[in-house]
Amino acid sequence: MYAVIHLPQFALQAALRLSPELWGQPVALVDPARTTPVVLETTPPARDAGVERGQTATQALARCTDILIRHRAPARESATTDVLLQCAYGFSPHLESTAPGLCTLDLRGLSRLQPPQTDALQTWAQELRSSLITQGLHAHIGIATTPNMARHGAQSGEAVRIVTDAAGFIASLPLAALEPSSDTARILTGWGLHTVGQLLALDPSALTDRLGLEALGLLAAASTRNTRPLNTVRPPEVWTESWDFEEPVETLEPLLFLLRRFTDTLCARLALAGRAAERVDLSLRLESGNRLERQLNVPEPTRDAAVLQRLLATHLDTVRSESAVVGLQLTLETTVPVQRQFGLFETTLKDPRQFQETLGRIAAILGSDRVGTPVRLQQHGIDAFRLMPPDFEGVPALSQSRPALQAPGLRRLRPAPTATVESINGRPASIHCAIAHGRLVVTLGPWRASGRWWENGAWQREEWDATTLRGQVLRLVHQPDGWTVDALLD
Amino acid sequence: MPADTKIIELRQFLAERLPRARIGVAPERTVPTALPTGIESIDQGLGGGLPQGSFTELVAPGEGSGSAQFIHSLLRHAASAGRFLTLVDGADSLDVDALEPEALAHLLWVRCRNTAEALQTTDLLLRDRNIALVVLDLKLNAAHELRRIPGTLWYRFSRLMEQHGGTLLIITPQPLVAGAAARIVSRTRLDHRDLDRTPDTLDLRFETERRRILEASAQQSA
Repeated sequence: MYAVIHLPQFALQAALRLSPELWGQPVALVDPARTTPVVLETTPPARDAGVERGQTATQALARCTDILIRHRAPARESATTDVLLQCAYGFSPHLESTAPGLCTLDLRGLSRLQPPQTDALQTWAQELRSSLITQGLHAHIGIATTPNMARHGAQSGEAVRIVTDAAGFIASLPLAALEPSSDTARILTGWGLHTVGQLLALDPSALTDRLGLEALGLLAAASTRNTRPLNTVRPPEVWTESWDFEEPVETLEPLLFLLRRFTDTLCARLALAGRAAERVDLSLRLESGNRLERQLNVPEPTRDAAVLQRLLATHLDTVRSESAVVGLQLTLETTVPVQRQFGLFETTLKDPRQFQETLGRIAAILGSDRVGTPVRLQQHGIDAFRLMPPDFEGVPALSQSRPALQAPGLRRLRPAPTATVESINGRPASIHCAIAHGRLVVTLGPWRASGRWWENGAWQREEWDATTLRGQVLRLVHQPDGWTVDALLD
Repeated sequence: MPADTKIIELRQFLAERLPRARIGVAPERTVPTALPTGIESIDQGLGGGLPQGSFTELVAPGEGSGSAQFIHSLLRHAASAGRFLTLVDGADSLDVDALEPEALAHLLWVRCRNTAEALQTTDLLLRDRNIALVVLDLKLNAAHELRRIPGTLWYRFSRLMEQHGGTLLIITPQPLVAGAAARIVSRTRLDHRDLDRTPDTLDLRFETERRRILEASAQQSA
C-alpha cells in the first residue's frame, strides 16, 4: 500500500502557514518573479469577492479593495516541504518528495497497518492529517495499492480517500486528473470524452496513432497496476522557523506571539521525530542591518513548548536593541531525550528547567555577570575569580579531612571606598572615609604584593590591617593612586 | 456554602496562620525538621539546626560580629554534606579568596548592589523548589534601606517558605525581621588578633531564641 499527501494550493499554504488566521480574509498570492505579476492562488473569501487566478494585482484590488496581496516566497515553500517531510517521517520511514506539496509514503512493513484494514488506514490517515494541521498545513490523503492511484486519491478533493476499487475509481475521474496538455485536452473534449473511463474504453493503439506519445503518458497515468520504486529521502534534521515582518517591530508582544507559534510547531515536529531540544538559537534581524544573536542552553533536553517559551520570554525581557526588529529566526539544536532514574539519596535539582528559569530572571534583574558559581582563576591577585553557570550535578562533596585555611575570611568592599590616611613614621595613624574615621589604634603591616609587571596591567599594592577606636578591623590598601579600604573583618 | 462550613474553614485558616490563637483546639501542627549549620551552639539551641519551611534571623550587631565567618562555615558544612547553598549577597561582600574551590562549587552566589535587588532576587529564589537553603545577607546594607522594608514582605516570604519547604536565613545588623521562626544573636567580637587564627579556632559565640517552634511544641505537650 502507498499513501500520498497532497497539500492543495501549496504555494498559498506555504505563505500562510504561520498566519492561519489569514485564511478567513481575502488574500491573493502573486509571483513577483514574473514580468507581470498575476494572482496564483486565492483564499475562499477572495474567490467569493470575484478574485480569480490569472488576474493582475491591480485587477484583484479593483474586485476587492480589502484584499491582502502576498508574495510567493520560494524559501517558505522549501521550509514547508521540510515540515511536510518531517511530519510524514513520523508515520513512515520510506517516503518520497514527489513534487512541491506532494509526498508519497510506502506503507509496506508498518506493523500497525498489517493487514491493511480500512478502519486502521482511516485512523492512520486522520492522525497524519492532525499532525499536519498542528503545523498549519491542510492536507488531502490518498491511499491505494500503487503510488499512482494513491496520488489520484489524494487529488480527488476528499480529505482522506482510500481507493479499494481502483478500476471503478479511475474510471470515474475527470480527464483533467491525468493532466493532459491543453491541446490534447481540447481534442479529447472535442471527441466528447469527459472522464478517464471513457478514455480507457478506446483502443490504445488507435489512440496512440492519433495523439502520439502523449497518449502513452495518459494511459500510464490511468494505469491501476503500474508501480514504481520510490526515490526515498530522509527529511532534513533542521529545526528552524523564521519570519520577516512587514513593518518593523518595536515591542515585545509580537515577538513573543510569533515565538509561541514557532515553539509549538517545532516541538510537535520534535515529538514526531523522537528528539528533544538542548539549545535554542535566537536571531533577531534589526532594521539597522545588525543582528542580535543569542544561544540559550536548555538545562534538560525537552520538547515541552511551554518550557522553551518561558526561556525565550525571560531572555527577551533583558534584550534592548538599537533599532526595531524586522525579522527573527529560531533554531533548535536537538538531541535524544534523556531518560534516567533518580537515586534514592540524590541531592541535585528537582526541576532543572525551573532552576534555569529562576537564574534567567535573576540575571534579568542584576545582569548575567552577577549570578553564578564562583570559580577562582589560576592567577595571583585579589578577587581573581569569575562566575560560571551553576552545575551541581556530580560535584564532589567537600572533604572533611581538608587542610585548615590559614586565615579567616573578610568582607570585601566592592567597589573599595577611597580613604584619606595620615601616616606617622610610615605607618597609618588615622583614617577618614565613608565607613570609618578617626585614629587607628593598631596597625599591622605592611604586606606588599605585585603582579603582571611583565606585561600591560601591572599592579602593586601595600596592605595594612588596622583597627579603629570603634573596634573595626579594616584592610587598608595603598596603591600608587591612593588609599582604599579593601575589606573588613566580620 | 453553609455557615458552619465557613466557620470550620476559617478556624483551619487561623490555626495555620496564627498558632498562638488556637484556644481550645487540639494542636495539629508538626514541629518542622531542621537543617544543621555545623556550629554546635546553634544546632543545639535550635533543636538540630535552622528550621525548614520557615526563616531564621541572624542578628549580627556591631563590628567583628562573625557573620561572614558564619556564612563561610555554613557553606563548608553544606558542601561537606553534598548540598548547595544560595547566597543573596546584599552588598556583594563575599570573600571568594577565603573559601576552598570545592566549597565554592556548592555555592550559587547572587551579587546584589542594594537591598531592593537582594529582596527581589530572594523572592524569586524562594519560589524555586530546587533551592533548599537561601542566605540573605543584609549585614552591610545601608540602614535607611533596611528601614524601608515593609513588614508585609516577611509575611510573604513566610508563606513562600511554607509552600516550598525551603530554609531562609536572614543576616541583619539589628533585629529587623518580624515573624521569624527562630533568631540567632551573635555575641562574637573579632579583633585584629583573630586575623592570625585559622577559621576553625575562632571564638564564635551565638545565642539562639526559638519562637514559633517553642510555642508549637508547648502547645503540643499541653
